Amino acid sequence: MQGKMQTERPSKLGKILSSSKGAGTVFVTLVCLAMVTLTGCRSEFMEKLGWGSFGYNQGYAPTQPIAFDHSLHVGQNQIQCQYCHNQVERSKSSNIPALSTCMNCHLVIRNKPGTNEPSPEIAKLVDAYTEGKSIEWVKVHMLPDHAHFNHSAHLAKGVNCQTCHGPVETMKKVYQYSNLSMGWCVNCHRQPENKAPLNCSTCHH
Amino acid sequence: MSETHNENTSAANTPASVRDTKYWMSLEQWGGDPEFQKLAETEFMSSPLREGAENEGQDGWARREFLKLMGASLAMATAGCIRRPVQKIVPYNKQPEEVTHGVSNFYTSTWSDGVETFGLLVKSREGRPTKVEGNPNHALSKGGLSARAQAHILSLYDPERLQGPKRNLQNKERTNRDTISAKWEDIDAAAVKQLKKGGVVVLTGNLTSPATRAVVSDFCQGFKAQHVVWEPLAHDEIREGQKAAFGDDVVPYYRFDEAKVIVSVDADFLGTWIAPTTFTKQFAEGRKNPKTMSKLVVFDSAYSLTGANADIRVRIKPSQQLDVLMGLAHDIVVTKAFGKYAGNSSVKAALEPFANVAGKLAISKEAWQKLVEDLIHHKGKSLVVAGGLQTKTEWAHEVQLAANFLNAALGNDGNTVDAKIPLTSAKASNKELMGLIEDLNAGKVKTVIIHKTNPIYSAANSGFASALKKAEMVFYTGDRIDETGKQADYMIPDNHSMEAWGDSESYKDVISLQQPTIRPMYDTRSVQLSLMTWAFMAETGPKRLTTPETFYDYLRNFWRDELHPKFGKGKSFEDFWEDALQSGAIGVASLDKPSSERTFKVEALSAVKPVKASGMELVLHPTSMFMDGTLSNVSWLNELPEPVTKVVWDNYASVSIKTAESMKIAQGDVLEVKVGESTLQVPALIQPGMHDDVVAIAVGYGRTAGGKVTNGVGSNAYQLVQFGKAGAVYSGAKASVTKTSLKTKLATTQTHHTMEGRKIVAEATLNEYVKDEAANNHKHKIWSIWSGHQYNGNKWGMAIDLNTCTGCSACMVACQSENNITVVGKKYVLEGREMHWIRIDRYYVGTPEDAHTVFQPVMCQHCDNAPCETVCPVLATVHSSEGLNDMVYNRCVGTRYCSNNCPYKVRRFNWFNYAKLIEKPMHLALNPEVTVRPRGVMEKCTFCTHRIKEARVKSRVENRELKDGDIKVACEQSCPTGAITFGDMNDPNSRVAKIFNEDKRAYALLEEFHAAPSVRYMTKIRNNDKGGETSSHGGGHS
Amino acid sequence: MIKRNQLVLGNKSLKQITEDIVAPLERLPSKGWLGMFLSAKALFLFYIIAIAIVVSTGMGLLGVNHPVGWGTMIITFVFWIGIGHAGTLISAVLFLFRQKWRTSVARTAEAMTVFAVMTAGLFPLMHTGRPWLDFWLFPYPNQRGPLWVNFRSPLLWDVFAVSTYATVSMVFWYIGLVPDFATIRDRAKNNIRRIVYGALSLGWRGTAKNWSHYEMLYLLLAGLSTPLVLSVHTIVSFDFAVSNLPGWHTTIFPPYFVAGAIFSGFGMVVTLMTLVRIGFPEFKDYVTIDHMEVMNKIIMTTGLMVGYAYGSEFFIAWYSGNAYERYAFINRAMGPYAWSYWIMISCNVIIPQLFWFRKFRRSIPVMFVVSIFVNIGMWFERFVITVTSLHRDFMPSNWGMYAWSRYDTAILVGSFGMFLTLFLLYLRLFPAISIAEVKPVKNVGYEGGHH
Repeated sequence: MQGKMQTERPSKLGKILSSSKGAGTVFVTLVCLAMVTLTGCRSEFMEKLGWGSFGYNQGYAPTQPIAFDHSLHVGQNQIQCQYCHNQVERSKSSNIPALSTCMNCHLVIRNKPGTNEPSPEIAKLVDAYTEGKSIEWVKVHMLPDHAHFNHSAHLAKGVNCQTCHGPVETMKKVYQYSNLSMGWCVNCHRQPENKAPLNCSTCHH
Repeated sequence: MSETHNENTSAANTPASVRDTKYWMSLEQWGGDPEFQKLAETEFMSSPLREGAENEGQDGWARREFLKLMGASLAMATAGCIRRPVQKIVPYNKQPEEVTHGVSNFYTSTWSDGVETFGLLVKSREGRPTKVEGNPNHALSKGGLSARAQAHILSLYDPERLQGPKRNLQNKERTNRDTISAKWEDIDAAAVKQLKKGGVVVLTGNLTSPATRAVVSDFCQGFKAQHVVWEPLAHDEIREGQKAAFGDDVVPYYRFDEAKVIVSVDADFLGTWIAPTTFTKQFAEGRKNPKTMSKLVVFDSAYSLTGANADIRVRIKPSQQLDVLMGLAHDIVVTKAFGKYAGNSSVKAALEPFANVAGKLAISKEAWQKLVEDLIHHKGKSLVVAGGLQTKTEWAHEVQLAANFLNAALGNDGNTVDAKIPLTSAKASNKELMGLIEDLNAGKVKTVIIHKTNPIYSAANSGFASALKKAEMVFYTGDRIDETGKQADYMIPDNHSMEAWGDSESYKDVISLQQPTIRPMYDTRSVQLSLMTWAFMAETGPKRLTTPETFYDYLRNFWRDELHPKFGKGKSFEDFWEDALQSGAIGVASLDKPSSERTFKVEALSAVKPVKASGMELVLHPTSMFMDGTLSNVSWLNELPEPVTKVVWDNYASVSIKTAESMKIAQGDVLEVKVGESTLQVPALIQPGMHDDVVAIAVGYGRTAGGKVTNGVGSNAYQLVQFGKAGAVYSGAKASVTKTSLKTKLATTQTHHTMEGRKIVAEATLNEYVKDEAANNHKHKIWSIWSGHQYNGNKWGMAIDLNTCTGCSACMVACQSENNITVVGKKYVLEGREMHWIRIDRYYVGTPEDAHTVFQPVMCQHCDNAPCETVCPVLATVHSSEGLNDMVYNRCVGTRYCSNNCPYKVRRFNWFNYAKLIEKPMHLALNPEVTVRPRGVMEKCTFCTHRIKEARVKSRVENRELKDGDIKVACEQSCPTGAITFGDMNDPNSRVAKIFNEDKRAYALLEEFHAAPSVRYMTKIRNNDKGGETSSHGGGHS
Repeated sequence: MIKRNQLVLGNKSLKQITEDIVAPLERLPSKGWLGMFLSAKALFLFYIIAIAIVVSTGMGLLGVNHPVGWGTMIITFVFWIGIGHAGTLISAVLFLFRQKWRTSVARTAEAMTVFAVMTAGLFPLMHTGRPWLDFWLFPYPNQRGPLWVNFRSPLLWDVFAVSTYATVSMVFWYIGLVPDFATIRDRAKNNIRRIVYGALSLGWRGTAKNWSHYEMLYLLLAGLSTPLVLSVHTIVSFDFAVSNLPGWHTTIFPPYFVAGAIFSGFGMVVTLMTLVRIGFPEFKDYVTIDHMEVMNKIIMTTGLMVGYAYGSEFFIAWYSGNAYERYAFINRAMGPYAWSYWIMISCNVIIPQLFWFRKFRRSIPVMFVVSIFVNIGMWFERFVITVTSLHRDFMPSNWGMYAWSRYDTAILVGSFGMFLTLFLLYLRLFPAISIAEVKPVKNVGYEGGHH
């Protein structure tokens, strides 16, 4: 940062250094840069600026092998989350539905919504299913291995999917809504009304 | 800087829909979102920079400056966001309904170790077994598992397992020249062609599976084959003794729980003899309540685990075994004229030579007299056992006779000894092996099929290896080309027991079902199916052998025809089968049936003559980790310390302190032990409580082709076994011991053996306890200026009963398996870097010559005033609201200050990157619930916090309260004696709370130090008739 | 008033003084210096490699194990921090007490301090299991909730204490150098020198204003660093004293550590000074036998203090009636590590007694040998405290031995490479005696110095 200044406008550097406030600025700059790097470039201000997700992949929205549209299934067709992600209430990890689950409907439904022309995306699914293959979805929400999150526990507490996953019903393409940083988890656990445990071993064991 | 600003503005101008896919949400977009505002605020309040927010009005500078500067780092930020490991999620094609991703299933199954059978619950995650636990429904093991049973899961994932059938191309000397892969068809063709020539022998170890026994007998019937059963830990001496004494050729069932006085002459029933875990459970039953606890007197020639748990332990040499038994018999039947054989003259004559042997033994006259009286007093409720390799001497037969006579004379036969429940699987016999060797040498045998036994290693001295070369073709079913495999023409690897169907019966009518918990990992085939296939192709043998297509069908048919009628209780077969699968075991009733007393053939006694012996005597004994040497490639067992000596990764020659002094032997000096023609070099271990004329060596070590882990560990003591027409002599042979110039280091997990007069293991005699329940457990007056933590929800605690803990070490392996604990190897154990989270401390008490032993399992004590918590600079170990001492691996930087400050030294440090060393497919055995620790991180017992969490979440999902017993931690679950209790101390009715608050024996380790641990130990009570002189304080050998 | 020996011999003129002191900077290095420098540098490189291997492979390469969690690195850390004490003591404390004799040794002592603290500072960072995460030891705003450091942990106090000490002593040292840099700048024959020393002298003009500012600042810094002399090693001793291990949990540690630190510090100063006198004969007139004698007196005194501490530790252990404490100390003197204890006693308590004799106090070879012994002894003191206490604590089942490996040796020896490299460079590049401060005291001890 400072190096940059030197190369760009060395004249100004002298001035900055001379004036006490300027010097202060430079100092603060360095401190901030240090903090920024140390904190994994995260701070509320960057959050506000929208640069908060460095190292946390907030907003990450990879292209999936099948352009599955949640806004269509959940938003328009009003399918419950748990219809497909059916193990989420009894398991720590929510499941991506087996192809057989998709085929419950798509045995019949083969066309693009509201048209008569067959959908190439559904075709992919049907082919994979009939060939006994599977679909390699790209993982969107990922926690480090040393953090153990339990879906069923949160659902049992009445947390709804959107709290963490955001307005999935509006997503044409799923993106990571929350930054999933530890601070983000803890802030929710801290709220007295949630009566959530704050022990380290709640997530780390 | 400039470019970053453009970025920002552009972000502002683009329509939201486009921006959806951007890696960050820009401020403008967030603006409208109320949820975010809340998030931001709350986040803000907890922020270290909130000062900036509070006095924003007065001094905007700091904040605005800040924003500007933060902007500067955007360049960096954007650069960073693209980097991300892309992971794929591949769902099932069709959802298998019993699999819930992330939830483990438990399948009942069974596993047998030699002749002992365990009921298992196999924990399986997404179709891979990760841990085995005990099945409470099994009538004998009752949920207990031995260390070996726990560890055998690793043998499934052993990277060195054969991945398919192999053919050994052999040269003229019938030694392996080259190994090529073979096809099952070719092998079958060759086999059938060969088998048709006749002269077939099926050589197996003890077969616990009734169905397999049936298959083999059908096969033998079909091919006119001979079935020879042999394995080193055979119990033929017991069978012969029973035959001679009562006329039935059985290994009877013993009831240690019924016995009030137990006399064991070298029968290590808590460690290695017949069914140790079953017996341990029974033994513990008889001692749970100290007031009515049984008394165990052990005459021990090696320092066995049973000896270590004895109330009175007397060191003997093998040649004294007979003196002990006959001496007791004499004093009971002749001197005290007790029992129905009292008057009998031939008995009197036979016992006369043993009139006053007590004087020759290392036991006081009074103790001996007391023992005699106790035995008489508890007639019918006492038990005398003798057996094991230590008694496989030239006089083994007499020893058995004497033991049987005692039981008969005391009226124990039919009560604590029950011949109506024989050990059906114990068929192994050294005589048969010698017969087979003869036949082989005579060229009578053309084909040998070897299954579940490895004679070339474990009968090294019998000449089997050379004899086997005379056979035309040899089939071997082992899972690797081991010592015997090297001489086989065809390797036809059997499935691992976790991959195959089967059943198991150790004692009569206690049958459990073995169901596969994983699809065969490699191109292996169950041995039963091999035999069935060959019979089918050769069109010979009974229908039931040739008709079924798989062994599963055979098994079901067998159960339908043989077991269902007997145990079906009128249920349809399908229900019967389902129930059996569900509960895992059938047939428990017979165990409690009262049996009838048998009459002892007194004339047999006349054969018993005193033994003349002088000089050093050899004692061979198995260890509870290695037993006969199978499973020795399992690293967990190699690093599991021998319960008494605490030595790992080695076997050794134990000699007494006096002998060591007289021979100038130091620990680790290599000795040369010569017995008859055979010699063995083995390092010396100076062992307190040994007889001076005994050199004791463990068998099961010194594999040469057992696998990467075990090859070269220790030396093969089977080489010292003397085989003869009569069978095999393991112990009692005259041994000449010479000290060589060589030296090695023995790695032990404990280097200091006394308590230095500190109250670590509290111990009291029964007399003391009866007088005062808090004997030797004086509480300290502790005064603290701090009120301590408040625990509003649960408060976890553990209680360990030192009186029932036998030190069997099953918990150590359970913990290792549950918590992904690594094995470090001999070199690093020597440097003090073993990783066990729970260790079993062993201290010697009393004089070095006659050292007694106490055991104490020690794991993290989860102190309320934990010294480790205050010193960690980064808060990597902190106190939880439930009294747990949380260890956060991912926060730990590894200063090791916590370990220094821990008075119990229970913390373990990852000195190297052990996780990297886990070889595929071993990683499949890892428990996904527990983080695999990286290098440079401290770790320790967590009280299985993941199990606590699992149970709580379960209770919450089922929305009910947690109840006592919902949570079973790994060590508690595996403990065969139930010495470990875990639970909630805030629940006054929980088992732990009761012990903490009411039990007078309960005490906290290093109580005066006032770390306020959440673990309580309960005084060990020794039932040795002494008044007050035994104290909890150590002294003795160091 | 008692007659004093001259602080500066040979009745020098101010010009001579300047020339004598800057001589090493202006002439080409002697063969001796070159030899020492190259070997020190080789050792330094070897040190770096050793560290690289340990950090990349794992702590397991060192002898640290279970139960001995701390070993060579911590021992050597405390050792160097201790060395680092004499400098500030001489320059700051003696300055405040107006001890004129300090002037000629102060500069080098401070230099030694700075380098010793540098060498020491590395160890706590390297000895962690995951050195790349050491920044977690500093409190900084973060996105883990935020997650702060544990202010109860003595190790954290250490981080602050040592870094403060390093900063202050470095500033103090540099400020002292400023006028002398100016002198060298003005004498400079070539441009590079002029520019480099010019920059270093921060535009010193030698005006009255300069001097008054300088004096004031120097006084302030002296005042500032005096408490640090006590605080640093006090806090280092807390690493042990605040824990609860028998042999560590001792109230006498803070004074005992400080005394030991000064003891070892002066030991090292004497070692180096004797060498400097040999290397640069012209300094003999400034660092006189009297200077050395005074320091030897201090060594003897502090040696006695340390000896007293050893004694009282034993007394308290016996008096406390705490079985664990008693055993810990019996084990020190009689246990498997007794040899290290007796090395410590003989080097730190017995040998310095030689200095009761004036003859020995004033004999260069004797004081050199003694100072070496003091250094050895003080390293073993830390060895005894760290290893011997850890290897046998509460539960006999965990007792074990420290598994000394060749990497321990490498780290220990290598650290001297680092220290000596820096020190030798300093001798050639910086004026080893404060020109500005020596001149005022040149007349001290001359009768009728006024004419």
